Order: sequence, then structure tokens, then C-alpha cells
Amino acid sequence: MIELIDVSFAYNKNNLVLKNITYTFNEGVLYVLSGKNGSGKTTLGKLMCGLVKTRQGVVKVRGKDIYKMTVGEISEHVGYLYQNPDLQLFAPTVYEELVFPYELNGKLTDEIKEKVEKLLKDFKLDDKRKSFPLLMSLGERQRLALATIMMRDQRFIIFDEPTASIDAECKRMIQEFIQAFVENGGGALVISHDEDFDLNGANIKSLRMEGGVLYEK
Amino acid sequence: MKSRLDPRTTMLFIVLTSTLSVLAANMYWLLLIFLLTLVLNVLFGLNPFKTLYRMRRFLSMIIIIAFFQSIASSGGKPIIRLLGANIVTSKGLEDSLSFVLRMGIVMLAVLLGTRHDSRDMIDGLTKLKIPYELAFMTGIALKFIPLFGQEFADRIKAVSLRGININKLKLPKKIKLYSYILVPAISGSIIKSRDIASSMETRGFRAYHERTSLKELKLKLVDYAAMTVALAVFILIIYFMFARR
Repeated sequence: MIELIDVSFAYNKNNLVLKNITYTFNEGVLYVLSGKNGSGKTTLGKLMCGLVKTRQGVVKVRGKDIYKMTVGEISEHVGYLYQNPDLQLFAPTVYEELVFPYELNGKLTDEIKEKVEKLLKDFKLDDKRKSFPLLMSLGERQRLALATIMMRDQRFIIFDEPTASIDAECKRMIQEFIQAFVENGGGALVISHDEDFDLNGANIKSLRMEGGVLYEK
Repeated sequence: MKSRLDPRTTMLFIVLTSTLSVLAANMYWLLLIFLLTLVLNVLFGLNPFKTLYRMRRFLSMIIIIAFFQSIASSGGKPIIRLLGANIVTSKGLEDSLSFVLRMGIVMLAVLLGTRHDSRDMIDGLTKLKIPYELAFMTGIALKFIPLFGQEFADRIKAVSLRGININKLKLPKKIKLYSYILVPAISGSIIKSRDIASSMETRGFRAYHERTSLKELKLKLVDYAAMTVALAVFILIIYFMFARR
């Protein structure tokens, strides 16, 4: 659960990007956030996972004020898929991309390796395991970025324009994945311009951001 | 607020202060030149301390290099001794402080250039008979330094999102992680520069031999006065630095 209590945010003093937002994002619900360019959608997403922080208001993740938490600690609970997947791909191969955080943290177990294999299959990246991620197609990079998030077992994921500029098949795959994630009890916030973002199900809430204010549709 | 001086005048300040930092043979001269450059920064309306604070990561790297330099340099009086060996000597300390001051002068001097639009700096360079293409590339490169820094910072945050606490990693793992971050950052820059090059060509860059400029740079009285003062101070410092040895 992510709570925003009277949150405002400004990149510079004279221009408030978010204005007094109070809202609670629950697990098991899919939130679809739309709004014009520059309306503050991405900033809201980044604020919810600690990528930007504010002292104007409080953001709580599972009851804890994220101002006092590091991005790493917040990432135990909240994942973030960047609009540009290249920003979250680092390793020289697809396989290493999925295992390197565990390798560095000294936690690369057989269980993790099994999970990597499963994700490679689920995201149709099995035959790409030795490829250099940044030379793959945008759709493949987006799927890989998503797979890296799935490695963490987070309960809430923020998707920033997850289907922008990718082909129809990949778009459908990501939409199905998000839906399944929510049906299994996870919470998701999808930031999207995409009119075609076609999601079905009971637990969907449409939100709209306008001039830094959040509205429930 | 932008500088009222012509970019060529600012370039002269940058060249003179950087040259002095290279020529200065001891720490006391370097300290004087550092203070002069600091005064120049203030006169240019810059807050050098704010900028140096923003560059603190780079500064910490300079201090680490200076620390190793102080250990590696021998000679002078011993200051710290360990197991009978001189760890830090007065000569080592002076060398490392000189290094820090020299780097500080160059950084402060380069900051002066930020008081002009990159466009004006390019025009200034072409007026100095630097080929336009070269000047343009330099201008673009300078513009991309902060963007590259921002991209690097974003990648560090993206790594944190993967549950890696960089501060807690041991050095070999830290080096491995930085290599992971640097490769995509550099390849991203190469891709970006290739895109910019294509975009420029499609917009007619170098399509015509003769170039015209929207704004014509002209040296004003204040520029001549500033250049004269700068050259006079430069010659005086050189004179006292070398002729009176």
C-alpha cells in the first residue's frame, strides 16, 4: 500500500508540478493514470518509489515514511519500469542482466537461477540469453526490463508508458502480464497516454492528472 | 544572468589563468592564482562554492589522487612515519596540495565560460579563426557534459532500484558495477552523437561554404580594458615568478 498525504512537489520553487495530492494506492488494484504531457504523471510515479523526494507532504510505503528510506529499501516493495528501458539495463548479456544484482549482493542461489530460467521463458527471451541487451529491439529491451523487475517479487509496480513505441504483439504481452500480476494480488500503476491501453477486469481504477492535481475518473 | 563581456575576453581569462596554473612552480604561487580565479568568478557573478559543492564527487576524486600523490612523493621532512618508513613528507604534502590547487584553478577558470551561451562561445571561437565545425563540436560537447552527468546519476538510481546498495559493496564489486554503468552510458552517448550528426546533416549542416551569423560579435571598450588588465596581471605574475628567481 502506498499512501500520499497532502503531497506537493516542485522541481523549481516557482512551478509546482504536484499540488496537495492525497490518495491511497492499494495492492490488488490496477490504476491507469492518464494526462497531458507535463501534467506531472511521471513525477508522481517517481515520487511513489523514492526516485524523487519531497518534504511537502508525506509518502508512505507499507506505513513507512519513504523520506527516511533509501531507494534500495523502497525497492523491496515498489518496482519502477522506466519509460526508456535502456536506463535500467546494464549488463553485457541478457542472462547477466537478470543475475548481476544477486551476484553483487552475494545471494545468487539455485532458486534464483531457476527463477531466471522461468522469466527468460515467460518473456520469450530464452534464445537471447547471450545477446547484448542494448542491441536488441525496443520490445525485447522492454520485456527484459520488466523481467528484471519481476526478479524482485515486489508487491506494487509502477509502469511508466510501458507500451509506448512497441509493436502490437509485445504490447499485448505486457498488458496480459500486468493483468495477471494484479489478479495475483499485486498493485500496479500504469502511466499511459495510450488510448489503446486495453485492460479488462473489476479492479481497475482510472485516474487523471491535470495541472498537478490527481482526479479519480 | 549572462556576462556582458565578449566571449573572446572570457576565453582569454580562461587561457591565462589555466596557463599560470601550469607554469606556477610552487604552492604559494598556485594559491595566489587560485584566489585570483576565485575573485574572477565572483566578478563574473558566479557562486564558485555552490558549483564546487555540486561537483563534490569529482572533488573527492581529486582529493583521493592527492592523498596517493602525497604518499608516493619522497623528499622533504617526514610528517607521518610508520614502522620506520616515511609515509607523508613535507614535499609529498606540498605536491598534493599543489595538485589540488591546480585542478581547482582549471575548474574555476572553465566555470567562467558558463556565463555565455554555447552559441556565443562558438561564434567567439570562429572569430578566433577556429574552423566552425570544430567550434560547433566543442560547443555541443560542452552542452552534453551535464546531460551525461544526469544520465549517469539516473543509472545509479536505477541500480539502487534493483536492490544494490553501492556504498555497501566491496571495492572489486564496486568496480564491476561501475563498469556495468559506464558501458551503457558511453554507448548511449555514442548513439546520441550519431543521431545528432545525422540530424544536423539533414538540416543542411556544411551544405554551404559561406556562413552568416544572426548575431555579430564585437569587442567593446570594456573588453579591451578587461583584456589589458588581464594581460598586465599575467605578465606581472610571470615576471615575479621567473625573472626574480
